[in-house]
Amino acid sequence: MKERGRLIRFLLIEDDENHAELVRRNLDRDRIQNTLDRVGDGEEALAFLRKEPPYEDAERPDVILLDLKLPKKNGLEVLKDIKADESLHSIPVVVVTTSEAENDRQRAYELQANSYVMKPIDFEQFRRMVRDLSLYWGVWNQPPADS
Amino acid sequence: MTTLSPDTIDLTDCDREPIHIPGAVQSHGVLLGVRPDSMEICLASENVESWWGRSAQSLVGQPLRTIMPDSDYERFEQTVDIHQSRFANPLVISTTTDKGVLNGISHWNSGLVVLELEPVDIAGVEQAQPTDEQARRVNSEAVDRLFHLTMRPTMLAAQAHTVEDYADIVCRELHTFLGFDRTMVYRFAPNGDGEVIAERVHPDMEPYLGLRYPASDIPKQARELYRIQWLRQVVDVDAPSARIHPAKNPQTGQPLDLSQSVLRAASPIHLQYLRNMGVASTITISLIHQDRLWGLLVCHNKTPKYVPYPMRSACELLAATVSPQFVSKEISSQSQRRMKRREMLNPAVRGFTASSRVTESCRQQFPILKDIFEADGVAIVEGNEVYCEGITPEPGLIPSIIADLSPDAESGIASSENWARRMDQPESSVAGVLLIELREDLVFLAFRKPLTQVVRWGGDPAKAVQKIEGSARLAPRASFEEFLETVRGTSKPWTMTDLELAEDFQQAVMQFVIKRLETQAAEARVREKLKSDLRLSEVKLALAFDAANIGFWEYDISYNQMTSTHWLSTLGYDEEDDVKFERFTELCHPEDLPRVQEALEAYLAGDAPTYQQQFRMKRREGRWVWVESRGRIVERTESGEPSRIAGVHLDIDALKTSQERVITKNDELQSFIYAVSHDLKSPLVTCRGFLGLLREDLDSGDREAAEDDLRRMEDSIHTMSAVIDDLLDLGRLGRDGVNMERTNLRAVIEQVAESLEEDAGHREATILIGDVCDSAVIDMHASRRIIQNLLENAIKHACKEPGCEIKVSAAIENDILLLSVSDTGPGIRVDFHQKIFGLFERLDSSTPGTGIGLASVAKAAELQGGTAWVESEPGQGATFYVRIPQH
Repeated sequence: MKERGRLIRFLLIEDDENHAELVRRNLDRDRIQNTLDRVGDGEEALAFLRKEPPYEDAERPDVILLDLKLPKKNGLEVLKDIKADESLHSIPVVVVTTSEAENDRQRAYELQANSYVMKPIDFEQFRRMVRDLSLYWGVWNQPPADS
Repeated sequence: MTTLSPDTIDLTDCDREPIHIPGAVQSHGVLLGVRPDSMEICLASENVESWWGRSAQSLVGQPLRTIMPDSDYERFEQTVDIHQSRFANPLVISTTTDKGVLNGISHWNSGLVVLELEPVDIAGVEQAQPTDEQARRVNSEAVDRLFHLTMRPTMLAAQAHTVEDYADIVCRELHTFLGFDRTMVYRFAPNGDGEVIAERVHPDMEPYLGLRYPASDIPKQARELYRIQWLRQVVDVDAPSARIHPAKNPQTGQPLDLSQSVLRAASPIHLQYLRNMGVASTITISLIHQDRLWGLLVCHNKTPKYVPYPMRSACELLAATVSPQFVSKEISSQSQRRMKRREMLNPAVRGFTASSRVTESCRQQFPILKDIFEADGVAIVEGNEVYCEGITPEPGLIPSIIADLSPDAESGIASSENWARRMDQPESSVAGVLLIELREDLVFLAFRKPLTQVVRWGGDPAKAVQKIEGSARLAPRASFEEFLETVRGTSKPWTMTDLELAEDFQQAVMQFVIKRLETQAAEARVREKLKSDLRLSEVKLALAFDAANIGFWEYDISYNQMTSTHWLSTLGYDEEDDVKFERFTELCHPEDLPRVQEALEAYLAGDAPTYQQQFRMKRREGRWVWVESRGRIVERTESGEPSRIAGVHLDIDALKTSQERVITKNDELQSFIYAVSHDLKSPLVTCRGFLGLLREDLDSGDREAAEDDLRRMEDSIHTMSAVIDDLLDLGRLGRDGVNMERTNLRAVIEQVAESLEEDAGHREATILIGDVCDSAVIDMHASRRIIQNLLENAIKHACKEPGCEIKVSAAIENDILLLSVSDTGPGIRVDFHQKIFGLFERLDSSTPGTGIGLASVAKAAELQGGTAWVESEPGQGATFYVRIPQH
């Protein structure tokens, strides 16, 4: 278990502002200390992770929450780039999407996604999903030493 | 009577020697001729003198009773009185001589009673006078032994399966009975040659078993005598014979016929013959059945030996008993053998195969045919072809043999036992020839070796050749020489059975040939029918191939040659000659070729059960078409390697294209559904999420937050309905079919532009109508959708800054309508130029939109046979084009 009191840092890659707000507000209610960064498309996400302008001061996230339907560079392309990047590939990537396409799930795991979850339509379920994700990835999951 | 002159002697003289009238008797007995009316002696053998002390001349004319006791004479006279039938031989007669009691044996001869007197006992030649009593006892003992002698062979006959077995039994009994040094059973072949088939012999003497003797060894008249008189005895070859006085029968004026005489002197030739064999004494008993001389029982003794009359009678009885047995055994074994051979004949001819020539079939059956004809070699001759097996003459000689034998035209069969001698080929390995004409120009021959058994005579053969100086007497050795000569070139004879089998064989082959001809004729009819059927189906097949555009191909692997060009013609080529396999590799799509070649090789190597591949081939006009190729090995080399494969090319292009289209459509539909569900679910998530938050915010009394929640819910509901509207628009495209007709394009553009002027105004943008052709061939609804969506797209995405200009143009050039909408906005990066036409693809989530508009443009362009694309560079604005062909 992580050191008590330590902040869990999420990076949310999500183009839908409303969805991002839903995640953010549910995380706020969580007893687990966390902070959430959010970017709106794939290109921004990679810039953020690589600390390219305008994200020179960006912090490396503990967990990435990745939507698939993204403008410019879609989620699977982003996932591929992350996992191909030596400095980034150990960051757990959780695909969070409304897509039920078999292909997407298949492909995501092929590209070494660490998890794949569907956005529930029901509010209570959505809330529980956010809470469980932060609990699992923020508390129970033990990342490799270099991260 | 024939006179023989020393100069003219040859072997056939034997046949002329008058052995039945030698004019002399053997000297161990005396012969008297008695007139039946006067009972006077009218003939007497010269040796009477040594018996009675009176010369033959002096006895002639004397009454018979003067030389025997009255009682004996009276008994004799009584037998004579009885009508001229056989006498009750022997009559024991006491003579007035020192010979004591004698056996008298009488017979009628040319009006005379011939009385022969001979000793009673075995040792009679030298014996002191036996008494009357003794003589009777000897005779009666002989009768007892007679019983054994004759009964045993009869009782044992059943045990003997062959003639030879039976001969051996008879031989054994006779040998024991008479006690000679040698006892033989001798059988005559139909040609007169003799063979020793059973023998009992003293160990000091050379065995004769198995030897053959030429017919000339026993001359014709001797055989005749053998038939009349069943038993002959020569007591001592060296004893002088006693002449009969007078030389001629006074009753007839002819020399006395001694055919029935028991004392008859043997022929000097015969005596010499016996001497040459080292024989001093002999008894010969005829085996006669139905008046035919079947064989002889022959006994030889090294020293003189006398067999008295009763024992001789016993031997005669033996001969009479066993003769029919011999004949029946011979007949049954011959018929068994004949049956066996005949039984072999049918399977042999059944073994002939319809597919090969009779000559070939005969050759295959050579071993059996050899057995059937008991031949040492066989041959078949068809025209100039000669095939031989076993011992045969040189193949080159065979045609001349056929010519020489000149078979009977009717039967087509000929035979010879001494071909070699006839053809002057003394060294030939073949002597007997049986010729069977199977049909014209087809002759079967069976060959037999010369008989190689050589008769071994007693003494030195070189010295044994004798021709008595100045005498008309033959030396038997001459016969031997001649026989060797004869034997050298003569085979075992061809019997009736052989000839019958030849005829059977000939008929069987003829029947086979006829049957086969009939079959062949029937087959030919069937073949002809099949041929015409085949021609018809070939035509049908060709028509079907053409109709279905099926290409037929054949690949000759060893010559690397494709021997059918029909597959080429289906691809539009008109190459006619055989083409190399490389022609195929040229035309096969390079992406498919390795896979096809691999599959073909795997099939040829036996690793794959079939060859069936789908690949693209280049048509003559350059288009690639999908074909399915299926092939099968149709020919293999002797070692089993595939040498030829044939197959078909099926044009599956249409199938393949529609298959691909279905797959694409299916994929499109699938992603459409996912995309739709995503874009409809997304606002729903937002709605439900903020509804939940709204409750919390209301509970906590945070009004500001509650307002925000409501606004977000309204936004997402608005988005949802926009998506639904756009999807419905997209769905409507082409739903009622595409109706390409000349339309007033300008009017359409103006209407749309006008309807969007307000929206543009909100963004402080201007819609300009540039050069626009008046009319074009378009589907009005689809084109309206294109113009509307392109203008809306420009307003939403390009007009972020005030003063943006949007311009619509339309021109027809080279029969193609080019419609364009350009803007002065920020432009679009090259890597997004294609992506933006995808369904629900959006470049910027901060601007409103459903991601359906440009997808609809692409679809509407496609419906009208055209395409849509964008040309743009960041910062330079963007121009969207739609190209619609006018024909």
